Amino acid sequence: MEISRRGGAGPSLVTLKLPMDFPAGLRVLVVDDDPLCLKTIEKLLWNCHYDVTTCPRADTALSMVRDRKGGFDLIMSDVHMPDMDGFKLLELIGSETDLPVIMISADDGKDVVMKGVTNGAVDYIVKPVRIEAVKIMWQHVVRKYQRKEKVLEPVECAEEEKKADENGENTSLAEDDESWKNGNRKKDENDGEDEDEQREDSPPLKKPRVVWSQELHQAFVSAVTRLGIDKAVPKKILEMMDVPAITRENVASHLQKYRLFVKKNNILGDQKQLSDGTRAGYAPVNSVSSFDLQGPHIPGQHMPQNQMNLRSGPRQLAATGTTLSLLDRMNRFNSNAQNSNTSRIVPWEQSFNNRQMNSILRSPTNMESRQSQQVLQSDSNLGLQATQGTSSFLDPFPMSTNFAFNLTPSSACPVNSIQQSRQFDQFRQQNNFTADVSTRGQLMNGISGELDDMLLSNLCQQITTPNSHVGGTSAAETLLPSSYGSASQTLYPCVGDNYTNALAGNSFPLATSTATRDILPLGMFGETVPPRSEIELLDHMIGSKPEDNFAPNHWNSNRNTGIESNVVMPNGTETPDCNKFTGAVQCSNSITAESSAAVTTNDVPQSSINVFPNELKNVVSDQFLQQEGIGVIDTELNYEAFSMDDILNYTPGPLPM
Amino acid sequence: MEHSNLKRLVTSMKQNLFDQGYLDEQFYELENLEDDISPNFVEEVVNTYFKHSSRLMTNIERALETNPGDFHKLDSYMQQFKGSSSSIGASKLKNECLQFHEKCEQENIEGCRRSFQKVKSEHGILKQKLEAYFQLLRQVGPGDRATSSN
Repeated sequence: MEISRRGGAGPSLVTLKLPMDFPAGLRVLVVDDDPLCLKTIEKLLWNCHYDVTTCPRADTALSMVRDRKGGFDLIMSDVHMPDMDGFKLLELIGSETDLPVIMISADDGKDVVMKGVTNGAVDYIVKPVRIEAVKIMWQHVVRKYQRKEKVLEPVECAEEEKKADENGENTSLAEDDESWKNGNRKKDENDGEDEDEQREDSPPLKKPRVVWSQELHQAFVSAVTRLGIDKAVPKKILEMMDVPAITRENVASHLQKYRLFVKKNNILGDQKQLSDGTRAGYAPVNSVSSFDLQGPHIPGQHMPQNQMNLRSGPRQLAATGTTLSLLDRMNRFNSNAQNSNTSRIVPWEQSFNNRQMNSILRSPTNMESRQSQQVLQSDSNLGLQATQGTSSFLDPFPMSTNFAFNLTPSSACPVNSIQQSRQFDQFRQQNNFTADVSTRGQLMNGISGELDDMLLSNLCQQITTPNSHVGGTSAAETLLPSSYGSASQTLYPCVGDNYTNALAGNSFPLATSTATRDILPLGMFGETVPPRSEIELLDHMIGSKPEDNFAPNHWNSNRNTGIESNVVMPNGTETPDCNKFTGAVQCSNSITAESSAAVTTNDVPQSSINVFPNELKNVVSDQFLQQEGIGVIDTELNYEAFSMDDILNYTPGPLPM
Repeated sequence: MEHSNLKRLVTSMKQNLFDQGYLDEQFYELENLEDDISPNFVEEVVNTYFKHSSRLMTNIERALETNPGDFHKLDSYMQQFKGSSSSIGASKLKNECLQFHEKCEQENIEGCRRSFQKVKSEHGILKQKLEAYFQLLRQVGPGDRATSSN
């Protein structure tokens, strides 16, 4: 994967090139008591080149998630299940992991969908699940990794940002309509923060910008909560946080923004919810549901149509309504406060000649799909961003799949097989990637939590109705290249290319119900491909090391074999290690998952692991590490984990070996 | 010759199912999922459906008898049934499920019962029709499926 930096007046922009077959290999766990739905969704997912594991029972699914930390990228769960309520599962998964969970159900009742949203689901798809919805499900994973990526903000980027900030960004406050109208890119709180930082720091000194990572912010929030927002003073907060790298000034400026944010969003009463810093972004904040419902007050705008993307059809991302969990809002706040120029975001060249737009692209956001919706409704900045030549944004979002990827096939990334590339091309074409990413990024970055009614209404008018909207997330948001970069690293246990010639890209896996297999990533020619070292990966995420040969080693490993794999991502080097999962998970009535020791990937060299926050650590370690060497994918294993139904119903075709 | 007649028959049978509203575009989606690896995917799915839906209907029936006051439970069963039915494109059935759902919302137990009878009846009809369709389809042979008029 190549990473290029674009400097210039705006923030530095990092362009990431996705591997050709992204999002192939995305590991999805589907939980549904209905075998029919399991079957169809599984097939859909496989046809989209995801690695699917199915499970008819919620308790089984929960064990799987627990046993295989980092073993999945995304969860899809039914709502009405006999053994456990889908929302309960959602809550449990959310409290123990930061996996994005999508709810699926035939029930499109508003209250049910609302419950999904408030309990932290990233999306809600109404049955029957269609391929269009499934095709772009990866966005939720990307989004999640964007959030994690914030942790990695390097100082160098911070300094660049600082420079960029000083290059004449508008310093008006968020509420300044004039600045909006002037079309100045408004960083709102970001600007505010810049201002704060500059004021508070001695002007000639350029301190590296403090990155308010998720952890930092949560520590901050819990400190503030303990002290009481009105009583919280930077000094005390600093003491409570006990983080060496930040100064009182950092805290003060962050507090100022936080207070503004809280005030705007009227979340004072729910502060205690924020104390739970464990949830990365899916706070099951039931208590805020009523609050969330009203959201930022939008006079005259009652639930703009895009708020509840409730559609009875399964199209794309169904409802992600207005409500933002409290923590999400905070995350959003936090991400805004980050002033980003966080390097990760990337300007899709097509749309980003506009410097302002570019600078708007920020890393983003801890936002989840519904956040983006929320943001659309509530943030005045959005309007500004929107007017910045983001006409592409303002255009009704094309049906879900229209967004632009900078999918530059890298010549350095050999395609594992012609079939794969063809398939991916097809997939890509079908997805019709266009260049709307920027708008999303802008949107996201523009979030200030502040409400500009005019802008909002302007924006809301622009925002198209659900149909044109990509599910819960506006298209652009998910396409931040950086997220791809990182996502690709973390998402795909890629390793090598297992495609055998006999296997077409979308061959249906013979093992339908979950099987965790020992899988060894195979390189292009069947050799085992070693996982990328953690450091390399992280470097890659940071963008400091353009990687050329990234692609071939990923993602493809299990597509053809029907094996659910948690194969770690490969990188270029040749190590025989591979994250493997042994044991077959039989998802009929019980799980017999013997996850072998190899499963969890903790072979990361300790030194590198320790560098990163736990959250990321899990991600990285779980996903990038290849553990014990594994033999070639044992396709025979395909048969191990059939559920009874599958056995009854399936007539396995010739197994490509 | 006979083969092509069969094919025509299959095509027209399928078309009828659509025209009469028994099936909707979801059925096409299922057909699109068929490939070399899963050449009989649709049939397998439909078989799975009828097995599962029978179980669900038994549950509903039992609930209607033993615990008619629990509309939440009834609705929950019906949502599952609806999800299943919609996943194979069973259009009429889905509509009947919607009716049942409405009766549940109204807490109208008699309405629920009547609606459920309709569900059962539609279910039976669909089953018959699809069985006939697939039987014919099998005769046509996997490689020569009538193309779906998407």
